Amino acid sequence: MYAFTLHRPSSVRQAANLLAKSEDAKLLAGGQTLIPTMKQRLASPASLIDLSLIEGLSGIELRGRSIVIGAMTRHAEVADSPIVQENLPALTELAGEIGDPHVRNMGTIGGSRSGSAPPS
Amino acid sequence: MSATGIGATVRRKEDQRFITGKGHYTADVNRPGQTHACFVRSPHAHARIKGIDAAAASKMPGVVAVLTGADLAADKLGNLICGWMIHSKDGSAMKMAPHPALAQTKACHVGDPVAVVIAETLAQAKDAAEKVKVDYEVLPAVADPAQAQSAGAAQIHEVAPKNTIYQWQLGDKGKTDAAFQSAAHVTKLDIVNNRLVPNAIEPRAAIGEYDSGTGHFTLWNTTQNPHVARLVIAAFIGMAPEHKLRVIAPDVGGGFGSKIFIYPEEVVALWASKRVGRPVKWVAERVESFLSDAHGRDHVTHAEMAFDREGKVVGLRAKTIANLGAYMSTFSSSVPTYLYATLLSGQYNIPNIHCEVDAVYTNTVPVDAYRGAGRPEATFVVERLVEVAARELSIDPAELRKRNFIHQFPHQTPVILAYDAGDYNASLRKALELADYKGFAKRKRESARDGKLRGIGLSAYIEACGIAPSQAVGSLGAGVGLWESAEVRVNPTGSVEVLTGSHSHGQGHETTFAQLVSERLGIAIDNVSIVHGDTDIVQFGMGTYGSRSGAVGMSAIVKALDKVEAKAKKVASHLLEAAEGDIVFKDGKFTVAGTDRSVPWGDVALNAYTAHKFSGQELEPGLKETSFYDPTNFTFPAGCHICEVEIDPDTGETEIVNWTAVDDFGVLVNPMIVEGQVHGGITQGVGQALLEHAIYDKDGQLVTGSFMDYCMPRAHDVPSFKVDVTVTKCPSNPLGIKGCGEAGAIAAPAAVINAITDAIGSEQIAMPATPQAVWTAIQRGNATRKAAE
Repeated sequence: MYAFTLHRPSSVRQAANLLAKSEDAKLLAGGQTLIPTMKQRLASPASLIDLSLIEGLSGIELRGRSIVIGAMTRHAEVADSPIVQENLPALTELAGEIGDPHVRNMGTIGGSRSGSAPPS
Repeated sequence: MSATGIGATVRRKEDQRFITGKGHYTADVNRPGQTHACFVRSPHAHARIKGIDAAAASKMPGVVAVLTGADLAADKLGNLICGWMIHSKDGSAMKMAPHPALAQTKACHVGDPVAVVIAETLAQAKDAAEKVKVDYEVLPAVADPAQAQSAGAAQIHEVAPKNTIYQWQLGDKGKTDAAFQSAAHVTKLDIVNNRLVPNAIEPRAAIGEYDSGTGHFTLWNTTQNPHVARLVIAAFIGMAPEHKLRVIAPDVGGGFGSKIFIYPEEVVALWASKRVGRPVKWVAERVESFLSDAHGRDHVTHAEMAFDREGKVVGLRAKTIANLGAYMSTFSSSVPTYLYATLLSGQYNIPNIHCEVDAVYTNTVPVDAYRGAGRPEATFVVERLVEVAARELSIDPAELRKRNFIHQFPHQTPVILAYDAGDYNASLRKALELADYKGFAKRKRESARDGKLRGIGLSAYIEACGIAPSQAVGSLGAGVGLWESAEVRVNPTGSVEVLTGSHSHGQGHETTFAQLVSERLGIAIDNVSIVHGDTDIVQFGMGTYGSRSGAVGMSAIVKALDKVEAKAKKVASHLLEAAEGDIVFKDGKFTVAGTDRSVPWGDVALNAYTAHKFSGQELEPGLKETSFYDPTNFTFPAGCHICEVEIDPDTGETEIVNWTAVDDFGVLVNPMIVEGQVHGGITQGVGQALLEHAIYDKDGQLVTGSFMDYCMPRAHDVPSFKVDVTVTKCPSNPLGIKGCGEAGAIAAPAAVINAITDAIGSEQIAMPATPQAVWTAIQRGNATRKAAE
């Protein structure tokens, strides 16, 4: 892993500002793809913007006919959610089989969607 | 049987430390003033090294040295060697190409180390390694063993025209061909035994340290055989005289063969430690393991089996091309020869066998022994042939096997080995029963109702373990003897240390070896320590591989215990004032035969050291004995595995629904540990059959170079195994042990593929039988059937 600067913003606005003004910055969600890639020196962002301290990015709720899942919601939370279980059991099963407990407790549904890699 | 003796299910003494993170591995060792090594590895499969510019790297922060093959050559260090001589059919010696620890004129595979950076921290070493400029002239490469000998193929080593290392044969060609000519039926198969990456959970690591005061070197190393490592590094590499080199293998986290061999990185760590005057530490990263640990298997074979009208096998012939990779690894030459063709008789009475093996160089990582080593390849050939033949002859596969089993022992096969004991019918019968073979047709119908294809496959394997009688292997080309050593050290308080030449890297020797001592001396298992893995502490030993630690290593302990008991009886005779011949040792007590006069073990041990009750001139004080045990024969574990699969024809996904293993390992020391070995072995075999494949592209790039694209078996890939045993005692060693470490990996691939081909009704499936491969085979079969209609 190469040296990098870690930012830990507490709001979406701060994160967006950091992203706009830093060159070669990456957003860090659960880090399940990005961190191993950096460890293998295959990625070398100058800075990381950690989204984990921002409130309001995670959570699961039922809104009418939609289930709204925050981008920073961990796979484990999705797998354990009674709302998901009741309304979309296939997603419960899917989230519960991603990686191992370690991965599920760190990895996020938003990160997986943005990464779009088949194993993520 | 005592509660902790031979045959008892004793919980592993070592597990408490392993599962609580208190194991002490090479990576846990840190030496004062230590530096860190990062290797610069070739990104090309085949490239001439025109120059190395280390100027920029040397100026990077924290860099202590940048060393290249030229520096190694300047210090006149020897090459890595292959220690088993094989001669070709024409009598010529195998073509061993030079293998320097750092490439000097050219790199021969992706991952071949060309330079090493030594720095204060690992991060600094890695940063600087990126700045080492290597001027490569990329050369054409060949990775496919089937292409290696063709006219247009890249030529890798000057010493080996057409990349051919040897063209070897075993058996009588004339008689075998004649048997085929008069045969009623011949079954033919083309087989690829897929290339595998061992992937021990602990990556390889090495720390070299040079003491300029004494001129002594120390190497901490992830090795299965520290004495052999010391011998090779001293005698062939010429690093240091043997008595000035100490090799320590602390806890080692899995080997599966891949840690038998002497590798460039440990040689470089030692050499560099003298060069820079500080300890040098290297720990492989997983990607490095993929690119530098010796791979396994990689055979391309055409095999045929001939039958008479009664369904009796009259002959077997096979032609194999074995890929040995870019250089000949330490024992690579023996794997596709004496560990492979000698097993082609399987459990069957086959009068004529002939096998030809061409070993070839390719621009790939060296290939050497991996769990089973040659024997899984042989079993796959034999058990696929028998199964396919049964289908072609419309004979039940179990029946065809039974018809050809060897019944009388000893049995001399036409391919060197003399099987000493076994009951193949017994293991087959028990396996068929446990697997409810009779009920399979009903289960198949039920699966069909769910739209699934169900198949069942047998694998009646045999292996040659307990490696091996030294004279015999010497006559076959081995550079070393394959005996084992033990020293039993009794302390004045009666507790015991056993110094063994075997090496435990997961096998559980600290428990099983202690069970033997506990039973023999009648002392608590906790009063026994097993010491291994340090050449300064333990007498020369040959290490652990080829399921040899029980059969050979423990036999050495038995012999040393015999001597201890004999000496202790002498001491006891003085204590009891009786004739030595009247002393009986039983249940931890020395008794004068026919009387109630006795003295306990502890008293005898203490008196052996105080030497107050006997003349130290007539009887030497102390109680410590050493033994070197050389086996009289290989051992022959054998058994029958039955795999039952269910395949979803829409996705090609194979689920293993039942697994029955009935093995004959001779006497079991610890049934729980044996069962664990069987579970692990089968799982590795299932990995080979369904999931694992080291794939090189045509340019020699390893495209499956990480866990992202090389699929290891996981718990959910295997069912709950039904494991049982039959027992015929091994007559060639004092404990009757045959060995169990490799059986599962040997038996499993053929069982899985036999089951899959049974389910889909096509023999055209290569390993690994991934969902894609199975689906494709089903579609091809459907298309063929349609065309036929």
